[in-house]
Amino acid sequence: MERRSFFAAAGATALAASLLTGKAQAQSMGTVDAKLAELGVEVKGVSAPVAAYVGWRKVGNMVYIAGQVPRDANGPIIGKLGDNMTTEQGYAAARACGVSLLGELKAACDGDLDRVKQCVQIQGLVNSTDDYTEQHLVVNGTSELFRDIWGEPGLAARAAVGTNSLPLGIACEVLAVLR
Amino acid sequence: MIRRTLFSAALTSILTACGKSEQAPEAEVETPQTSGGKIDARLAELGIEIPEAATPIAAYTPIRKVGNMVYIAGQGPRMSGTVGIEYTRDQAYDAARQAAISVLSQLRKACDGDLDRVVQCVQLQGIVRCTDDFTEQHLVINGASELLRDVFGDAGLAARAAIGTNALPVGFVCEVIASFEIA
Repeated sequence: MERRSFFAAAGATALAASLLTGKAQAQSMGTVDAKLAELGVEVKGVSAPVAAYVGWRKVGNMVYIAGQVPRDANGPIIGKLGDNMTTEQGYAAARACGVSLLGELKAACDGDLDRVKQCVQIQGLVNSTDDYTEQHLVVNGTSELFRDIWGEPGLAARAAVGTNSLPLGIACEVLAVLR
Repeated sequence: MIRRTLFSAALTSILTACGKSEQAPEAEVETPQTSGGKIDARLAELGIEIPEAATPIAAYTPIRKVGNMVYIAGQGPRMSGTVGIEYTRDQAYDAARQAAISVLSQLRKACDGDLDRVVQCVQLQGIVRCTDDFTEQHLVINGASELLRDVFGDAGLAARAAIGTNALPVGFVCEVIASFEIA
């Protein structure tokens, strides 16, 4: 009789513990992951580098991410602002760079984007004609995505730069450093 | 007693021999700043001679250290021109490799002569002076990345950005900016 009630109590405790753990695991999916779902942003796994480099490096609590190629369903987003691409299209390309940055960042954070404290530095390079002057609006594609996810900590000490040419003819390349 | 004498004599000659090999001619060919470590051996193996660290050509310092991070100023090659005009992609690869060797000369100085202190290359930015329609900057900058990988292994690979531009100081074919974590 005592043994039966002992086992019943043990069983009940185990059941309760597993329920609580299940709830905790659901919560550990994270605030950022929930935000990404809300924004309809799908962060994909990282792809292999196209040359001799790594996607990211960690030093203490700082993560340095390699310059990202903007991609959509058709592959790399190619174009030149001021020539065959509008600022709105450039913004979309920079946002695509942002999503790729998130993929690398997630890997660097061992899957947990809630570990991100702040975006420190963003450098956005925009493939431009000599007279195109809206690079800052293009790079907003990345910055505003990060702000939508993390709020003020997602904003960075930023540089938006125009250039005459980028690898593969991509419209922009964005690098980031985060803590 | 005799055994002890023989043993200490053998030990002395072994130690002397070791001392002699450190002063071998091969080591003296390298610049005086080497500390004879693993990376210096690798450089010798690869036939890479690192020059003395150059002095700046403008108002800047070649190296900044913050804790265990070393930030190195942009280094250029001994080639001036534009990829797609005077130079091909493969020639520019060699230029990037030259620039990386200059990076190593500054890095060695930052490490007080001991490149074994390098933990990893953190960030590498490779800027290539090119025509508007040149799109292989990532292959040019491999000249720098692959050199660093040959010297340091996978730790020499960095979070990288390869970029094109229309103009660089002194008309450099490329400029390589690198940061490292050291011990």
